[in-house]
Amino acid sequence: MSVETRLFALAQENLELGRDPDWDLKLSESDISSMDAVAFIKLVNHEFGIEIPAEALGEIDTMRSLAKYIEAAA
Amino acid sequence: MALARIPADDFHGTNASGERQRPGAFDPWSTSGAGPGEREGVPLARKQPEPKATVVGHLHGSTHPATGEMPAPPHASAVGETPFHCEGHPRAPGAEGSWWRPIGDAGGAAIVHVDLRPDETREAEALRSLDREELARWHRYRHPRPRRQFALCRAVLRRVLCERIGCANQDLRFVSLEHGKPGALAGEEPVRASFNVSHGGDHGLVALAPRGRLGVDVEERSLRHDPDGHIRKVFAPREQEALAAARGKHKTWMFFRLWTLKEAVIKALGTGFSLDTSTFEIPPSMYLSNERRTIFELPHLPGLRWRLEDLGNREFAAAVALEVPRNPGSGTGVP
Repeated sequence: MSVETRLFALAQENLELGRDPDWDLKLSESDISSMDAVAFIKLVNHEFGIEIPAEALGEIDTMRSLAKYIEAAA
Repeated sequence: MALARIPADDFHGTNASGERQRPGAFDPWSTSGAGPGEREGVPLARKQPEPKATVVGHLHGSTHPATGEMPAPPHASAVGETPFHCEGHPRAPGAEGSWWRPIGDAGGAAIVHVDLRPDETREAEALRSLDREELARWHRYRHPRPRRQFALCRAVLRRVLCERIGCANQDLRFVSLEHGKPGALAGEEPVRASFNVSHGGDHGLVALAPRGRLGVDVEERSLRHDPDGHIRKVFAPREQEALAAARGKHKTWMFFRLWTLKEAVIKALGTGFSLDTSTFEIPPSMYLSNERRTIFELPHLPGLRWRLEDLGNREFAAAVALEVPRNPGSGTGVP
């Protein structure tokens, strides 16, 4: 299973994204709260065995870009 | 627009001296980057040994003796029930103050509650006070809730800010400062006030102070995450221990109290989650003894004092952090 597929499945299980999420939607324009976002990042770190540094998160603006970051970091 | 800016309505303004509040790399209400002297690139979950904040002084407020709550918004003692008369704002019949209300004065920071329950009339009124750029941003939101939160909170911020600084609504505009951090201009002049906005569920808070860095956070106590799960890593070890030991409603309340206090601090700092929130500890009296206010210092920023106040009530958890001006001759400097 690709990183993107795993990440999107994880997001659908843990975030309220609706039935047909737009993975290229700017997260700033989504309905994700800060708490959900922080919790999700902690979960991603755990699930993928990585530690996403804070400054990297500043460059991650969509779920798809998060998937690309994880792929590069893995 | 990065992950750092998720609920994009929350932001910091310039402080009284016009100094930009520093943005953080992962602040869902902020923007990327971190200022000098701050922790850049700190992994979110890194723990530090014995992180503590120095409690400089304690304040005791007029809260409910049993619950330690602030009064709920409709009955709260007000900063001043001053209607916000601001040239250029629409005045829908019966709308004045009907969805926002001052709920307190936290050490000089005026706190205004915004009712964010769905209401087309209110939202339409709010939109009439926004400028072209804000309306474009409103249109970009795909989901009705963040769209509503943005419109209502921004309209109230405009009203409060205009009233406080004495400018016309049409002269007030929000601009992007260094690192994309929003600031405010009245005409061509930087607004000399600190402001911060937060929203959680049906509740919004607008905080405004004449000076000092300022952060506010509000959350509905809807527990969507296991307090002992992965999210616990945002807390310091002693905070995690206290949460692990707590049970039932007390645990939920402690979780949200700690969360909002931490978030208010990092929003005031402007670092967002680029500051590892597990590296500083909320004074235990605030989550173990229900103390409502305190002055404390962050371990990595000695000499800077922060007034921290729990604004929570039965309806929501909330907190505000305000930088205490340096004044060596004023004892503890407790405002």
